[in-house]
Amino acid sequence: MRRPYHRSYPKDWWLRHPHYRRFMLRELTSVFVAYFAFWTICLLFQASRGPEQLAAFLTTMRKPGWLIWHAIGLLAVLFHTYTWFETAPKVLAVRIGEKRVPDRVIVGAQWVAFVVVAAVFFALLRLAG
Amino acid sequence: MAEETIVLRVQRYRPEQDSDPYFQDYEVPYRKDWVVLDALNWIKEYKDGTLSFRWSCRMGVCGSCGMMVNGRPRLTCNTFLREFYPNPITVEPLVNFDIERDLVICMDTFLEKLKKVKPWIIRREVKSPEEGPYNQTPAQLYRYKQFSMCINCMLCYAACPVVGMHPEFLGPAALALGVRYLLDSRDQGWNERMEEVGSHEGVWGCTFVGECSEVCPKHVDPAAAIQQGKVLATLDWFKRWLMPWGQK
Ligand code: SF4
Ligand code: FES
Repeated sequence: MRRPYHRSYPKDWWLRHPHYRRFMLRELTSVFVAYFAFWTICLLFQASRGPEQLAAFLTTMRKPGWLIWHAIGLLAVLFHTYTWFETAPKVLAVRIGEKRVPDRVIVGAQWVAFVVVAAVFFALLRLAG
Repeated sequence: MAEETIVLRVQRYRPEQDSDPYFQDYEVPYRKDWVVLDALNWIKEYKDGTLSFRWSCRMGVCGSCGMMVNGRPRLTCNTFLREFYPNPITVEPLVNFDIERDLVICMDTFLEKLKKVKPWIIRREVKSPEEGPYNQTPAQLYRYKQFSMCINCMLCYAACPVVGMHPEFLGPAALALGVRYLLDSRDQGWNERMEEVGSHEGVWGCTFVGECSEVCPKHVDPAAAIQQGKVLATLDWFKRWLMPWGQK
């Protein structure tokens, strides 16, 4: 006699293993990526309104509350970046002939690119004064 | 010296008489070289012949013996008792499947999904045996070889929260197999296969939790197959809409 028993999926599945919790953390930290994109738009908007408005905006941003909030945001975004760099080798199976480029090389190359882009960006900021 | 023992907490469900599953404890001799499957077979032989479970090869190749061992999807034929001794071991049927009986799951949903990706070589130009085989270089073989090592053990389905929440999702093993044929230079069924693999229930259902690859006993890395499938589906989409004349 067949009488299949159906189990429903637990709502708290993501609490049940460290890997699932890590996945949730990765997904949640993506909110900060959107936040910083939005913040950059705000910055550009203030800059477009003139030097005084921009200066006022930047003074506000130097308040401890904002600095702490953005430090938390930076950690979250860095963690998010780290998780995506780690998973990139799964998406990009780069092959040279029959050999697959080792995962470490792909992950490492991304960090090198990350540092180079950041360095160029900060150098330009410096130049702009 | 008294014989060392270990307790197996086994989930039972006998459709004729039980309305719900329940746990039954069995005390089993502890041997360092015993796997969970050995303990289950000992129970069936000496304690309780009514206990049902699936197994065949006892060497990690047939894919029949997958169960939840202390909450994790494992092949019971390569999960040693010594990993848990002296603590009790809980054995349940794989989650994300209905239970047929005791530790046996209903695999109908999985088999349906496998069929959907058409896991065979599709040819438009068929060669006769006299014309010889469809040759392939080692480089062409390595593109998909890893994804062809699947033993259909379904551990990845038990590990995947998307399968749990959206039963229509084709799931890791079926999609890995679909991508395996998309990457096979001998295959000519790209369009019909992509319809399933590149669909909403296909690769786009995946949120990249990645747990399928963690539990896979054959290092198939279905998560990688699915992400590469997303790349293939995206390129395919661009080809269809930007260069409709370029259809193969
Ligand atoms: S992909 Fe791995 S875990 Fe999934 S069914 Fe195949 S062998 Fe088992
Ligand atoms: S019995 Fe064949 S894989 Fe475990």
